[in-house]
Amino acid sequence: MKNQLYYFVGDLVTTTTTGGLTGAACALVVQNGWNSLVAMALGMLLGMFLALILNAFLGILFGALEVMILTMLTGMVTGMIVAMQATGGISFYSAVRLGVEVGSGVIAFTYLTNSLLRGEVRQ
Amino acid sequence: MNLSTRKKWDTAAQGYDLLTRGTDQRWAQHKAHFFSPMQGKVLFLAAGTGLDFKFFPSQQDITAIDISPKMVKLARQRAIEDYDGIIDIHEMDVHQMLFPDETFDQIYTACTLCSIPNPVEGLIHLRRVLKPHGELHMFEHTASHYPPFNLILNMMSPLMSRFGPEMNRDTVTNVRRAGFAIHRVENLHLDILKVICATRGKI
Repeated sequence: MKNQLYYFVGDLVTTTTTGGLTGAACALVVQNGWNSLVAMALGMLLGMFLALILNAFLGILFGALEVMILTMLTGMVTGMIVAMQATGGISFYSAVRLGVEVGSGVIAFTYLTNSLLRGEVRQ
Repeated sequence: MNLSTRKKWDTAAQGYDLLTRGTDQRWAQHKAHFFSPMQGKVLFLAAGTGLDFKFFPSQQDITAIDISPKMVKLARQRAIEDYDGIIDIHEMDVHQMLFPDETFDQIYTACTLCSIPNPVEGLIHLRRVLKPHGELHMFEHTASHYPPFNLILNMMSPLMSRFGPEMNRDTVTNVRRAGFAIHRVENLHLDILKVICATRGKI
């Protein structure tokens, strides 16, 4: 890959941005005391929706398929986790930070999985 | 000819270069390597707007097809501007190719099998126009066998297929079902983006 650093930074920006924005959206939408399952489902949908929007822009810069995987995974996981936390009360800053942390975790998981799956497949 | 597929890709033609820019640049080096064995009488399936022409080895005589007249128009322009060999581009549906049996030494596809309405049937038609010892080279995105990636691809496919490709096709299995003998599968990104090399197999 010619510009490996460019795409690594791009992927990192993609996941942390998706995580941060999803965390912020969940903190604003989900209220203290909501049913946690409803909040989790809503958070996941919110994360997926934001992922779709971000994918349209970031995919042009860093690759549509690669970015789609990262944004969708980050959006879904962040949405579920932060929305669950928000039912017990979470500050806006903590929600954003948690989203960024999930985004960092998603990129680590995806890169690790990629290193295991890449290469020739025995037929 | 599948008119709904033609209409979909005609609609996509205008913004196609912008939308695929990231992927095109990210995998440029791999694509140049992928296309490097091109030789003999070559068919390139689904030329699109001709973005891949710049990766072709120079001075080849290549036949390309695409179902979309708007894509073909853009590809013809690009073939003149970006390529030093000959690329003869036809507006044609893979399911109704007009080439005689056993015409081509090699067939290349790049992110194409995700867009053909009936992939196995399309591959059977490709097999028909391939010479007995001909080669099929594919650079394709496919379904994943691993969660959570397969979940994401399955969820995205109904939405994406309205405007572009399906995201969850098991292309390796489809190639086998069409009668090809697979010689090599290489994962480039997770188990989603891969290179598949096959020959025509038993006749």
